[in-house]
Amino acid sequence: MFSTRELVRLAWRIQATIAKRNRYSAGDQQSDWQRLEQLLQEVQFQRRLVETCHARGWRFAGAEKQRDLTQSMLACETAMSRMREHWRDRAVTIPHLSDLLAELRYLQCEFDNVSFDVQEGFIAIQTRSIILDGIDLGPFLVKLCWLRLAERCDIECFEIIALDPRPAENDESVTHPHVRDRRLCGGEATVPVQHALEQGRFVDAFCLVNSVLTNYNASSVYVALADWNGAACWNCGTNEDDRSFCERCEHDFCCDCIVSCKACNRYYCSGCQDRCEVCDEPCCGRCLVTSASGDVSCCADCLTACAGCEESFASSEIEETTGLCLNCREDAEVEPASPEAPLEPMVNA
Amino acid sequence: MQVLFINNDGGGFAANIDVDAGVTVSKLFEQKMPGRKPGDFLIRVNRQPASAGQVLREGDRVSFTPTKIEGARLVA
Repeated sequence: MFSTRELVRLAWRIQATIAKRNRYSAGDQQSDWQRLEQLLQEVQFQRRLVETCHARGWRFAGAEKQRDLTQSMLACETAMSRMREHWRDRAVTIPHLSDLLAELRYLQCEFDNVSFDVQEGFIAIQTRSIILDGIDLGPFLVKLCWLRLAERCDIECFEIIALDPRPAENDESVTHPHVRDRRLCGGEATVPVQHALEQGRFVDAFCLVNSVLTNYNASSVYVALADWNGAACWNCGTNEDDRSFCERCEHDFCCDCIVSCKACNRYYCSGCQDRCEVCDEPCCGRCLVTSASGDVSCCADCLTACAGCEESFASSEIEETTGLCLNCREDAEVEPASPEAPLEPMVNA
Repeated sequence: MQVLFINNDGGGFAANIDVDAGVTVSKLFEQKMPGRKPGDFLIRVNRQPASAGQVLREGDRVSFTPTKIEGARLVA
């Protein structure tokens, strides 16, 4: 347990930090108001010019000044929208020192292992070893970097540090399914954490972050727990180091269950990979070509140009001896019968 | 009478609300968190753990904080 003196000092520093944020905010608002006043003056000036042009019958100058007026009005509108957003997001309340002190005391009741550093500007709790779906992820240090409260009040003020890192096999930056590079993606907790920090309810914020860490949302993770120790083959379930990724169904497969396209070398699983109808070699859909007859899909190697019509056909559709496609062969069989045949002399009876 | 009610579920708002005199923590939970289980929440009155039958008093600070929250991944 920390002494009251230490806690008061910390609470005072945190309060001063949050107050700084409001001072920045007030300064920003002042410059926004000045900018808006300047823009309004510009609009009035442009309006007078337009009226003068109309009064004197200066049509071309009037049209030009009308465009300038429209631009000034647009700039005014943008500035007002920006101000409206800032006013809506503005943090107004600075927590009372007594409330902050109560929060710091209560934090020690709620969590076993609390630490803080006034110089470095953090308060931290240490979780117990977190076990999700049977996978032990080790204990975590949850740090509220309160110096950041001078600029923002959201979940980005927290850092999640694995004390005994057991990261995902395929991504060392992921130490928890919802933590990457020490940043927590709070999901459902994001908004409540933001409100808790804005109101100086640090214990609630810590409890919410702790709840996210001790629960698992399989539908939105950096690395699924099922793949934590390396992804198993999607087809046969074996867990080998050597895996490849099917570009079509986007699953990992072992080398026995994935094949590369003979033309482009892209990897697809056996379920997604097509095959050439002529040579029966694996060939992806992008590299398969439909023959001129429209009946056969084959790889480029198995295409042959017909010696007659010069269209591209599957080699299985071209007769080896003549080099002709079916249509050309039929034409060739019909043609010699008519003009070349000797005419029988007409004999009168 | 009024109590400060902090709902850390969903929006995470804090507001002063009117409650009937003599209302208990479990009754308030039923009213404010219909269909939810008290076991899924940290329930605190004046920052201290509270029993289901604890009667609320004027000015109490009541907070319900979910213990089962789903995180997510950041989409770049």
